[in-house]
Amino acid sequence: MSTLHLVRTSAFQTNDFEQCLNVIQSNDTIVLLDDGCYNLNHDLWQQALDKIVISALYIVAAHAQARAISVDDREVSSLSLEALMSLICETEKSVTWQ
Amino acid sequence: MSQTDKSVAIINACAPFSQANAKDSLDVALIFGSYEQTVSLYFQADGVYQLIAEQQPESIQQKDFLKTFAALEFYDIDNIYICKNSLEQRNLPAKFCIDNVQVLDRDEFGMSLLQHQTILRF
Repeated sequence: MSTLHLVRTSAFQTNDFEQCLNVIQSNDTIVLLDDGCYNLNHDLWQQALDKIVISALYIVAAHAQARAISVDDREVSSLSLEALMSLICETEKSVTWQ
Repeated sequence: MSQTDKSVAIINACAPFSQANAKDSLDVALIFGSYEQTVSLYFQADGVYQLIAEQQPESIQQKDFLKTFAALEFYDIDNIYICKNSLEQRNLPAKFCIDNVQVLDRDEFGMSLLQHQTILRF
């Protein structure tokens, strides 16, 4: 059973994202939201890319835009807030890292 | 040392939107400015995200308090310092929403900060 990981904090400030990567399984999904969006430019993001297929790595577009973070679709998939809601409802299990 | 000789430094160490620290810090800086108390602003760690150009808080339904940085000069708050190491760790260019930001390396940043008699951290 796969798990949805909601990452809400900056890895430059806390080690929540590192803890997430320590337990993650290859069929899981990661969503970067709120200050978690900053992790796109952290070295740890490469670990996420190594472990998870890119189609299961998301960033909430509005949250990235607010923070002037440019989104490259080779590194992450953009997600609308509506799509985030659908993803949460479709997923049986989720963990919020905050 | 008399009260008026004291200078105040404010360290900003949090990203702008998820917590109220950044906004609170700016409010405090403006209050010091209003009373003509010398105040210097220091940005380090995730606080450096506050000064990054082209942020769009309206896309997450937040008021754009970052615009207020442009008003600092009218309060005679001209000493604004940012930690170069923190920028580099975050792969951020030195492109800021205001002009008079001074980028200091870690040693210069520390020395400059510790010259102040009062240091507040948000």
